[in-house]
Amino acid sequence: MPFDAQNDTSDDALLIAFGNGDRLAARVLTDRHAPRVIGYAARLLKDRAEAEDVAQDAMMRLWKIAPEWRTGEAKVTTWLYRVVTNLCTDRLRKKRGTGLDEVAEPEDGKPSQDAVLMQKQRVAALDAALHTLPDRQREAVVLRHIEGLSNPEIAQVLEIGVEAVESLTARGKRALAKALADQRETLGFEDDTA
Amino acid sequence: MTQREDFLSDADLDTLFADAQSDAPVPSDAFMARVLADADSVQEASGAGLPDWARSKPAQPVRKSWFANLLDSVGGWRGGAGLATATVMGLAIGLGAPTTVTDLASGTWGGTAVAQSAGASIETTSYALDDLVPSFYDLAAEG
Repeated sequence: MPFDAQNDTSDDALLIAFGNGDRLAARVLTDRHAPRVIGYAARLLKDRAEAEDVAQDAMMRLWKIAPEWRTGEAKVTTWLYRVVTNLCTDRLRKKRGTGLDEVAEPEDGKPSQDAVLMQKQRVAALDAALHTLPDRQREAVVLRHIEGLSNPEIAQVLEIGVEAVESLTARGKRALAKALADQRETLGFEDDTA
Repeated sequence: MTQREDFLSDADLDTLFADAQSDAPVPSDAFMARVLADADSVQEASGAGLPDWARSKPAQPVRKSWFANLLDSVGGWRGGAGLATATVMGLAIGLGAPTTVTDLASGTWGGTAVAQSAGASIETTSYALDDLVPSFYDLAAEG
């Protein structure tokens, strides 16, 4: 099947094709999911290199499960987010054991007029604030507000109830709003409160 | 009482989330190569794409008969052969030497002895050397 044609193919179909020996399916699935997997892992771990290791591990697990994959039982994205969440949780626990759970502070600096720099500054501030949240709150907020998953999907990923997801995201968002309040001007939001 | 200034507004937070969404990382070529190499290795290991007859099949546990299990429990065919020989010999000796066993049970070596049994005394004489050897004629008579 041509590469372009496979871009419209569902994840389930691609995974089954991979299990049947279609090498191109692996390429399409990697292109489709690797960025979000790395992004999510990087947000949880705050380390790009480590995030790539986790993403590679998660994709490897996906390849291995392909022959047993059953259409309709789970979404590939949900499955990947769950695997990445668990892998990151393991790594964070190990880090805490060695005292490496330092939370980097966002870089100080004057608000830049350059939009790109401002965006980077905002993302860095958000990431730093996210790392002040408890693990489950951080996972729920990232999945809901950055990865764009629905609450039932997050419930599947985190293996908790939908109500628990709602509670986690609400508390997490409120904690973020409080943590970032004193950086309002730095982040270019000074006009919002005027 | 909570001041509005104590919290970033929902609109500002949404702006931050939108910035984060557009900040999705681009996987490096090295990462893509590693992931695709993993995919290839998994496909090769599973034999995916090959006809069914060419795929490696998982090893099936070997099922043994009860006799084979019994033979294993006594050390294989060598142990089984030894056990069978010992059984036959034991049976032959047991059937073929009643006289000798009687002699041994009722006497002592090298003189006269008195065996006490339930208040009665039985006097026996000493053994001759051939009393200790199973009699060929006794074995032959027993069949």
